Amino acid sequence: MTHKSDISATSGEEKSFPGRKIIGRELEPGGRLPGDRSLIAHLFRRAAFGATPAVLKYYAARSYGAAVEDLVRGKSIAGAPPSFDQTLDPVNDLVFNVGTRNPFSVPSLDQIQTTWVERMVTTTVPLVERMTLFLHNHWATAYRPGDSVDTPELQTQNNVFRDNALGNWSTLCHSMIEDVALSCWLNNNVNVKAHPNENLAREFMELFTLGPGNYTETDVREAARALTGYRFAYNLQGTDPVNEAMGPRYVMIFDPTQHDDGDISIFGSQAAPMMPHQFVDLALSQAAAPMFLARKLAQTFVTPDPSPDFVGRIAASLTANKWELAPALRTIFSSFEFRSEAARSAVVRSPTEYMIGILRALNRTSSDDYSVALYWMNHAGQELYNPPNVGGWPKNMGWLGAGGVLARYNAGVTFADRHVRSTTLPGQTRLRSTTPQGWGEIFGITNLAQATVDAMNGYLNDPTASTDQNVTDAAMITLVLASPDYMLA
Amino acid sequence: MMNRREFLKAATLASAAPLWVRFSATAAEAATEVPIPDRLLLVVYLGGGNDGLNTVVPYQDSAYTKARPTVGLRAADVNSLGGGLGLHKALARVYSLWTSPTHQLAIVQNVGYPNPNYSHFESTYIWETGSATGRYHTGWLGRYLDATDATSPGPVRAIAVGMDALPRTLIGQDGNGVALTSLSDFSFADRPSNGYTDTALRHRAFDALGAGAPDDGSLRSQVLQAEDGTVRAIAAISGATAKTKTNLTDAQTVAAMFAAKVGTEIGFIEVGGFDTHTDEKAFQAQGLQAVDKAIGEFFDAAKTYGIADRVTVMTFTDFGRRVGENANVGTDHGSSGPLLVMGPNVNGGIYGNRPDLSPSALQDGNLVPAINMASVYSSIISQAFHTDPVPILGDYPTIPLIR
Repeated sequence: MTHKSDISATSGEEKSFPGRKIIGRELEPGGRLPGDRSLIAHLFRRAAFGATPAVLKYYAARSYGAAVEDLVRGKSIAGAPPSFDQTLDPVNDLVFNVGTRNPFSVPSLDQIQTTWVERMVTTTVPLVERMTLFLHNHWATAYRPGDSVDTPELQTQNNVFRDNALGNWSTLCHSMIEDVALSCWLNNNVNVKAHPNENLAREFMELFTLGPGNYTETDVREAARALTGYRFAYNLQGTDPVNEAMGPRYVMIFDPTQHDDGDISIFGSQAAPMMPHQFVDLALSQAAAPMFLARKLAQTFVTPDPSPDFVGRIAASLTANKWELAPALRTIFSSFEFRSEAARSAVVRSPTEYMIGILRALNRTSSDDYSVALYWMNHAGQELYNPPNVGGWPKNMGWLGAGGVLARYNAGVTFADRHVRSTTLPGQTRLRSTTPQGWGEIFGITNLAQATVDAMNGYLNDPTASTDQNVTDAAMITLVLASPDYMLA
Repeated sequence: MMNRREFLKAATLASAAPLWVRFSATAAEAATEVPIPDRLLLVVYLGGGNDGLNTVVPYQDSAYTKARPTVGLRAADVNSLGGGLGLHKALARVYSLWTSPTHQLAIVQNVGYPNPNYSHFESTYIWETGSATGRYHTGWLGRYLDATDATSPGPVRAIAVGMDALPRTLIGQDGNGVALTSLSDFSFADRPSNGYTDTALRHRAFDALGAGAPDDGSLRSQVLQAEDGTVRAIAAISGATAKTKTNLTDAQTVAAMFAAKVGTEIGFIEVGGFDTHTDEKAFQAQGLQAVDKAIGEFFDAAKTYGIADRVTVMTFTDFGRRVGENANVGTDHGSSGPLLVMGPNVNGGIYGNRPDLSPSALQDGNLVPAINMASVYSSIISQAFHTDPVPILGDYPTIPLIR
């Protein structure tokens, strides 16, 4: 099997595939034909927290391939609402501006959560934030302030995720073994020659790079030895009293005297000494490594059960491009599998995607909106920076216990009300639609299920329906958000 | 084996009701809920680190009186448990379980974990996960719920009352627990009492979202079923609690949920105020009184609901406190402490050895824990819930706490 079923707007390569039903209009070389609105909406639901009507209109007039390119290249998506701003400084984060090195004076968890929610809501490069969320779930590190997994460390880690979101997996893996939050969370800061601690070594192979069955217990013990010698220290460098851009509170220090410099053998490769970064390279050189990441990306962005062939093509892209993530994402979004009918509505939105989609659609960008969104995200089971364990959050139906469903419904009710009660500037009109389908489009859904349309029309056509437009608008928003159409991405 | 959703589906089909009943569920349809589980567990978390030595008090131990000249309790402050031990007098209702002919109070002494951590967050995390080694990050009861998900039906298997978010103890991978600040919290926000004039119409339309949906196992049909289960849970709870008084306390709410026939078998409440660095005697008495009141309310409500023979209550806290008092008539963060298990199925008595308070037996002024918390948890899992605790906690010896 080759990559030829994939559309690539850059290569301009497109071949027909007899016997395979391609959904949506085929793209011409270069992707110049107008795009399939339903396919573009599908892409944005998965990769970008949903499309606004303006975004849909823009890319429908151009092409699906153009939308994929803008997303995977991290270019500002066109047609974004004017209120979306790019004023967030990607370098100077909240944490960097605290203005003090006092370790007891750090932002609250709520502050760094709000910062990230604002980024996700207002970003014009949404795949960067979506991938940052993917990486947070993948390298799942939770707030444990007593153990130096505090807000500055989590924000620093989050910035590393964002910097590498469309970057290089190998670079990220090398960064993560020196990440203070992850190291403390998995006890690598106390992994020393005399008392090796296996926690990071094991999870690095099991959960982060290879998956179970692709290493031995001996590899774990030996890798733990290879990872000895790190501890974190107060960051004494890089202070800038003028702009207070100070860098992280702690930095990792490699102490050779605490590193086990004896003979270490991992995956059958021996070295003395075996340095931590050599172990990372060895892990990434395993055949399982690209397959492992490819499968997780496919499960996240396409379908819970991707075919081995599809996973293999994504893995091949990772290998051919030396772990660059953007080409792999291009392979995914251009693939037959992603565009197929089977991939539509095939994953459940996480609470974060659910809430961010609402805020982006309704243009809700006040700090109060972010705070209410965080409240409902927590109730729906996803507190940012506090995953339940190192394996990350639930997925798909795992989100939809009674509490999760109820939190989503009530979040929809809440934001429907906030929308219809919001004041509008003179000359502005509030975002609304007169049809169920129009309401669906506001939330990035171009093809509401007939049952959903019928249920909404049933409300509107009921003789007891209110004549107050705000009442019916709020009900329409609530119904769209409670429908399987919006619960699923 | 059926999972919960399959159970709901089967229950619905068996009653020949339409697959999507949702808000149109009649009382009879809502009664397709599940039987009340045989064993019901209330976990009471004493937030802040309750002083175990001033709860189960070795008031005749000279090492105790010496270490605590002002904070220490005397004979008049306790109810005797025999053998020189006394229970803090604020725990009067709890003490009545001890003196009852059926001996319904078990005290496990000196419970903790190796290498005690003195941070509230870290130590509570260890207690809630049941793992001192970082092996687990989900809650010990969350893992029990995960392990039994396939065989134990019910849309709300665990409930934390009085809190915004689930305590880690109840967090598993399968979303079995629900946190709520009050029962009225567990309801749709667009109800008439919140000022909505179109509730019925909205909810009919919400019903209709699932109209004619094929039960084809697709993700779409699974979402509709999950919504259906949520509506049933809400309907069942509101039906069951409509008869109860409003303004239930947290403990009474747990009892109401146990009786609501939605499969709830675990409740969790918190009583705070135990971080007694200063003026310990007054603050701890206040806290323990609140605990005693909650436990009493719970047992009383269980009796009212006819579930008294199924309930067990257990306590836990962040950590015990330092043996020696500090300069502020209080105590600082310590290590192990006693854990109370109560109820009609409990083998009453005192388990484990009394901690040795002589200075040479202490580590950095703290007790050396003797019984691992995971042993107590394993006992609860195997004896109350008849489930193998090893996959949930690891292999720990059990204590015959429950019959």
